[in-house]
Amino acid sequence: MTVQTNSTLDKIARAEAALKSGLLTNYAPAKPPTPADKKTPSSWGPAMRV
Amino acid sequence: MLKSNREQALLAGGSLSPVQLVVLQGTSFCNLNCKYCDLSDESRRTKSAMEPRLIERLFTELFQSGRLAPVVTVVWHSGEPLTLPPSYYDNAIGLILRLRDMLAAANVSVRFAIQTNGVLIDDDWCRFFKRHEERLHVGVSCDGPSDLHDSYRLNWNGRATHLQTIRGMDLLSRSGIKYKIIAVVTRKTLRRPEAFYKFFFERREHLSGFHFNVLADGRSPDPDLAYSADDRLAYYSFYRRLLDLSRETHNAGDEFEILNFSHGTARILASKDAGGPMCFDEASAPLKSLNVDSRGNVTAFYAGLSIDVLRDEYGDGKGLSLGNIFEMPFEDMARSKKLQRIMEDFAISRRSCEASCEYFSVCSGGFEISKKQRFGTFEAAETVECLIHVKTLVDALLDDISAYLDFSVPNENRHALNPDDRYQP
Repeated sequence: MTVQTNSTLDKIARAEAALKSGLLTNYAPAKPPTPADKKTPSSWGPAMRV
Repeated sequence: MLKSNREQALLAGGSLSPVQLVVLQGTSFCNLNCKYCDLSDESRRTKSAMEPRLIERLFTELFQSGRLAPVVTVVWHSGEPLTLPPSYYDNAIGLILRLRDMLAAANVSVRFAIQTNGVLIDDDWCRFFKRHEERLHVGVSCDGPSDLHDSYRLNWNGRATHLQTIRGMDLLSRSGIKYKIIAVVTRKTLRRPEAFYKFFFERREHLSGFHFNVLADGRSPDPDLAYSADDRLAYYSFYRRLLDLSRETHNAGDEFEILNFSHGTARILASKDAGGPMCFDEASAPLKSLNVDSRGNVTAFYAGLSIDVLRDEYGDGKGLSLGNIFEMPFEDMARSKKLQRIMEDFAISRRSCEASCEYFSVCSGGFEISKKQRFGTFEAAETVECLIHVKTLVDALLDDISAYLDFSVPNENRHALNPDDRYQP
């Protein structure tokens, strides 16, 4: 397993830039989100989650 | 002069969100006794049904309130919905739609969902789901292969339920009804990511979605249900393995989406939108999610929040309940001092996260109550739950994305990788 040791903020910025520039169009584990996907799901509380 | 945390929180308390999700506890009764269930034994053994007059009152007030989002999802959950007959839901759906047509036809679209353990699915239920398939989604709770599922999802006699759940899922499939899977991940799952993935991958054509949940509370006397900060690497490795398996699937010409990762990338994309709310603010925004238990008690902020949680926090013995719909109009709840107090406390919690957490911009929140339960204050930042649920998953996703970019994007953005790097939280 290979991981990077950059700061979390650096990695978030890099991933965000890649998403916005389309570099993750073929990234398999997650469909690239569309603008309509930007709204996050609700938070589920301590009682249960969906 | 610097303002106190409470003053800052008041200023940042924000406004009420339109209601997007209404969780109805049609019944608290459940035919199963899953070992990790948060609902009390008493409530799960009590046969009850949310009265039609409660549904009528609730939705009359909601539709008249002007506080609903353009699309509202009504989900029956918390207790096993299928212990009530299909006719109960036929009537409830009909009633809600009639009220919508009378009171908010032009403004609000309503969708429905039922979350079931699948055990009671039969031909009658399949006909019901087909009858409403244009507006109703089915979710099935299944934890994967039988050894994982049957470790915790037992009936009241302590017997395994996997076969019955699979039979229900197969009936749905044969009837052409797609369903979304929600699978709980325990320590046992961490040891078997391949079997966990394969089990659901093989059913992908019948699924409308797949999502896994880590238990909401890491404290448990059962070591396989408990987790702590020491488990971060184990969860990280599990998440990374699922990401690898997704990629292998893709490379083999197939697709199987794990919603946890799609939602994670959506949060990254939304993390710094100029002018828009942070996803943290948005996910647990006041009134975005409403929960109504079978007696009419209403809570907000989180979907699925029971009034048993933090029961004595606000002095009325009713937890975070805003009131009972039979005793207080919804609009009074929305304008209540209690809601304002909860909003202030949650804002304090949010500001503590914002001030200290690198993951704030990609977190959808939801750990305010965990903080209060663990530390006795909302003015705390990290909990074990947010560490495992959010930070570790984001780490895995970001590292996977970085590795993908390094190896797949042949341009100047490539970063050199040190193969000796290891996950070091």
